[in-house]
Amino acid sequence: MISVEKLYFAYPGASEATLRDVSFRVDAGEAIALVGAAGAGKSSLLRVLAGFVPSLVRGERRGRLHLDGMDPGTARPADRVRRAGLLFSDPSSQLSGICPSVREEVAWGLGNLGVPRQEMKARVNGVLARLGLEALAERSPFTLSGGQQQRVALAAVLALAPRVLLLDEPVAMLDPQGRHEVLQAALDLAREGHVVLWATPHLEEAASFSRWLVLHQGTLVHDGPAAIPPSHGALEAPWTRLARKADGFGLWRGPWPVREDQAVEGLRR
Amino acid sequence: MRLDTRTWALIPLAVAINVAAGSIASYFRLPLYLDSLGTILVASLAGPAAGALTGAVSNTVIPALSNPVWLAFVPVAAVVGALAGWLARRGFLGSPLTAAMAGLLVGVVAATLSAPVSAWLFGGTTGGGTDMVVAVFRAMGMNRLEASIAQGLVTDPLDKMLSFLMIQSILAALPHRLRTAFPQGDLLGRMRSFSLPGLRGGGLQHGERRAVVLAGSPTGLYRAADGILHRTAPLTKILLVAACAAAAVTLPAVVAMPDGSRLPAPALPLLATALLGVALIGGVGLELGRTTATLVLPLVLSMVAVNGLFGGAASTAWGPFRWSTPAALEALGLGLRVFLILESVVLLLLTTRPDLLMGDLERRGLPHRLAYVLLASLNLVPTMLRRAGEILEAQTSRGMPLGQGLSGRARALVPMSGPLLLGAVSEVEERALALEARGFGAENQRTWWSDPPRTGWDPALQLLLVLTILMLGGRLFL
Repeated sequence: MISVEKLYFAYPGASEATLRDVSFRVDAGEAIALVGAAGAGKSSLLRVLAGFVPSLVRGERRGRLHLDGMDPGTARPADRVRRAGLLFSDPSSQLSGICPSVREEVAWGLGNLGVPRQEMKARVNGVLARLGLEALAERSPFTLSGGQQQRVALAAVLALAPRVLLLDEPVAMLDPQGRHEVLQAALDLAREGHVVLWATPHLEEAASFSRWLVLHQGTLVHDGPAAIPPSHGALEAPWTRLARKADGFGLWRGPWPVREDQAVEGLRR
Repeated sequence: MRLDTRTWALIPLAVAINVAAGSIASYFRLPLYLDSLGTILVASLAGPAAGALTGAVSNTVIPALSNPVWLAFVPVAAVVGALAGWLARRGFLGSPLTAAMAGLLVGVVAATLSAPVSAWLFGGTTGGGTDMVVAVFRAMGMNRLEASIAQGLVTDPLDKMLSFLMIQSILAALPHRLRTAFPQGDLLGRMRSFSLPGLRGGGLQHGERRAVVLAGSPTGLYRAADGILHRTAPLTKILLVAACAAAAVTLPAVVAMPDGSRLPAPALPLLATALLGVALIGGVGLELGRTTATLVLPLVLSMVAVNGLFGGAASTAWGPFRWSTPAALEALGLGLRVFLILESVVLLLLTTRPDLLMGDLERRGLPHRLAYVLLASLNLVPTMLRRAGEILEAQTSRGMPLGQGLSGRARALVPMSGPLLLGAVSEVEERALALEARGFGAENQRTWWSDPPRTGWDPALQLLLVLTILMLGGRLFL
């Protein structure tokens, strides 16, 4: 579904590249955590994958990129949107801000693509049911909680039926309940065949995903099971901190853990 | 007009900043407006066309929220935006000194252009606090136009100089990537860094969510209801506004009696009363009465008072006061014309949901990006007012003095508006990308969730109104 080979990206006038020599492949139905500290290049990678470079985000891109059979950087806006959906952390800046109800907010993107009314209604109702938003359908998006707004924003992206969901720290501004709701929705979508790429600096959040891509200063340093290589312990979860302390006493072997079971396993070794 | 999505996303934020910064300025009771800060920001980053559009949208949106008088100044606001964009392109924002010069120039142009509008359309007054300044100049013997220009020259250049200095300081502090992402960002050239005291400090800190409530209606003039006027097609009500404007321009406001005396003509007051009757049937009579009484009536009274007291040869004198009945009557005539137009605009706004109005206009050819900008601006104003209130609260709770005296208050204004501007520029990329992720840039024929309201009467009413407009227009050529 996604194939990236030797991807390089640099913002105009920047002294260093933001992404260097990044290569990976993703198949349909995979849910992947894109892990990295602030400034590691996560958001830039998602912007490149969504096809916003160079039309909206200026910069130099090199390397091969295929997403659902085409290079999103050269696609027409309507084709781009149908392939990859992008969600950010701040729910209020993602809603159109012009719709009086949740239902119309979710329908707005479909209207932009000229989807006929009957199909629009079917898709909106389907997505609202899918994300458990039917009870909020007539509410003004301005009056919802952050978690609810973020689910509406996700619904608005999903209504466009993209095969790939690019989620850029989608729960950073939500309370624990809101985080849980959006995370569950994303994992469910992956089970239904979507590709989900979830960017986060928080290892506890990433622990819900079985495959991790770890970015460090623009380079992909790990592509595999949930684990941080020992040389990149700067990304800390509580279990990682514990393991690093154990390492100080010579009690630790293997990769840094992020989940309880990995920590127990590491201590046994 | 081809603007990039980033600019389309910035314009509503800028319009809301115009309103919020204007509210902060009036909160401090200063003779400054700061209501073109957002316009200058867009003009600097995205060029003259985007600046002109921001100014025009700003003065179109404010009437829907508070005061319809602003509609008359749409062209002035557009020129301010275009000129600011042109000056920025020529490098005037490179240093504080040249930015202040640009502000001075724009201020003089704004004052000169606003003066004829307020002199001829509103008898030299606008119903605001500056009417007192106009009155003083009239008392000094100036005519309506001269007094309006003089009033503008007292306030506008200072206001625009401060606005340009604030924008220069903000832009110089922006990271290179953020600035050059905009169409005109590269053209601004090297910028000498300059910091107005407190401008870049003090955004909101975590947990500071209490807000000072600033002036401004969070819901706009629209009143949700299910009356006959609410169910009438938006186009019919737009035609009603056009018919009222045609009547106001063409029908006599003052008639000469056989004995040579002059009296107000009955046509315009009758039409204004009829409009109130229509509003009563539509269930918004009380709202229309209240809104016009608070927004439009003070303007008319101010026009009559300033012109009666200071305009023309005195017909009566009481001690130091002189009263000119002909001048007052002329101003009343003008006031009645303005009243009828604004009353019909208020009726349209009271009974038409903004998104349905825009949806209707879009179907009739209004570009969808323009419709987006108008609606998003309208909806962002309450958010931005809330944000301004939070900043005000945060700054004062950190012990920042609100300032004593005029210059102290003016200095306190700067740290209040800076975070609004910085916040807008830093969040605009995400807004633009979110719009694009939902097909904003697609070149399809758009479709809608629902149709605008429409009754069986609408086609006949629309025909009748068009005929009325044509008939009234014909009077001009007879």
